[in-house]
Amino acid sequence: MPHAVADKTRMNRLRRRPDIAITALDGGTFLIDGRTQAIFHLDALGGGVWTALAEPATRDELAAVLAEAFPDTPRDTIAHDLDALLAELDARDLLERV
Amino acid sequence: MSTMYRFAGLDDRPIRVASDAPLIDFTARFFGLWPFDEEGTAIADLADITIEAVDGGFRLRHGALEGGAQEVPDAAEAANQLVGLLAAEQLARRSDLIGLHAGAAAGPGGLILFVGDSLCGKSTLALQLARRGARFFGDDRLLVAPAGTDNSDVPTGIGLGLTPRMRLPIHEGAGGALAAFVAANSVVEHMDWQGNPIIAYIDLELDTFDAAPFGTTLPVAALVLPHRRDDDPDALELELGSKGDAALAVVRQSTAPGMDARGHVAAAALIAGSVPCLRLVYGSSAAAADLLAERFGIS
Repeated sequence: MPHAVADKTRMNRLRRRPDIAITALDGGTFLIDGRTQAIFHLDALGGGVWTALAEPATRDELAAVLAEAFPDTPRDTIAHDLDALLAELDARDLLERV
Repeated sequence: MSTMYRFAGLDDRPIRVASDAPLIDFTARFFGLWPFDEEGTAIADLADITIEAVDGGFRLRHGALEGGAQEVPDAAEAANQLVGLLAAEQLARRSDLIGLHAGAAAGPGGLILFVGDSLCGKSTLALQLARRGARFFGDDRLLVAPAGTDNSDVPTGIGLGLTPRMRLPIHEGAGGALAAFVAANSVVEHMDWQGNPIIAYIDLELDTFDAAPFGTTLPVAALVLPHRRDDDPDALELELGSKGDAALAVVRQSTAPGMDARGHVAAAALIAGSVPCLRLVYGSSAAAADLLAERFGIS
């Protein structure tokens, strides 16, 4: 499932929903969807991706950013983690396509 | 004919329960040090919570219940479920509070809150500390004012005085002393289908350790996130942990009906941001309690 969704998100420019509230604390990021009152938690990597998604970006652009930020992490690991994260954010309706 | 029971409430506002079930019979088993008395014949319209006899058991009514009502098979289960509804009613009245699923014990510097998933040892650790001189504050739940109370502007715990319960048999790593204490001071509550005891409640009326009654408030001194290592009985490590992890644990283990989601997260972040957050890895709760007692000056 994450792979299929990643295909869909790969070509689109994605952006985080601007109405999602954020609380960052010591290596973690809480996202609050005001529409549903749902609370999500992202780890450090996820928080970094969420920060990057303040501006529209494709999946490949995000992967490149992460590769630069984490030069010691294998690219396929970055790709796997990023795809899983984007799939999760997409499934929870936290992203917009622009 | 229903009886009106008046339970102590915060801000001197009692919680009234109109009940067909004889709640007095369950004082030691559930309500521990949460005082209540009988007011006389119940008038349902004046009750905050109702427990009415129905075919096959009892029906509880309160806004916190899904659909507003829940049916249970007997009076004991009605009393058991009432515990949660009393806490829910308290939270409904105070939008500044959260209900936290945690074990808690107080040392000289304040409350130590054990927060984590089921079976990580929250209850056992709180009781182990109480046996070492800490004031027992709760094994399962308490209320927390993230921004403090009238007397304090630091996160403050409010005890509910509920009867502590232990899963049986006592975990091997808890040590023989705790097992002996529980055996001497508890009453078996539930058996499994083979007749083995599986849950016992500690009889607070025996007064064998210091336990905080309902409404006791204390500042929170620390959050401890326990990680029990059943595969390593000698594991023992207490170190500063991530405030983000602690806030996440608080969010996951709390309810905040008086707050929206943003407020709930902010409350958890405030609590975690205000006190030391410790990560405890342990195999023996006895050894862990010794370490915690030393760390927090409990004797």
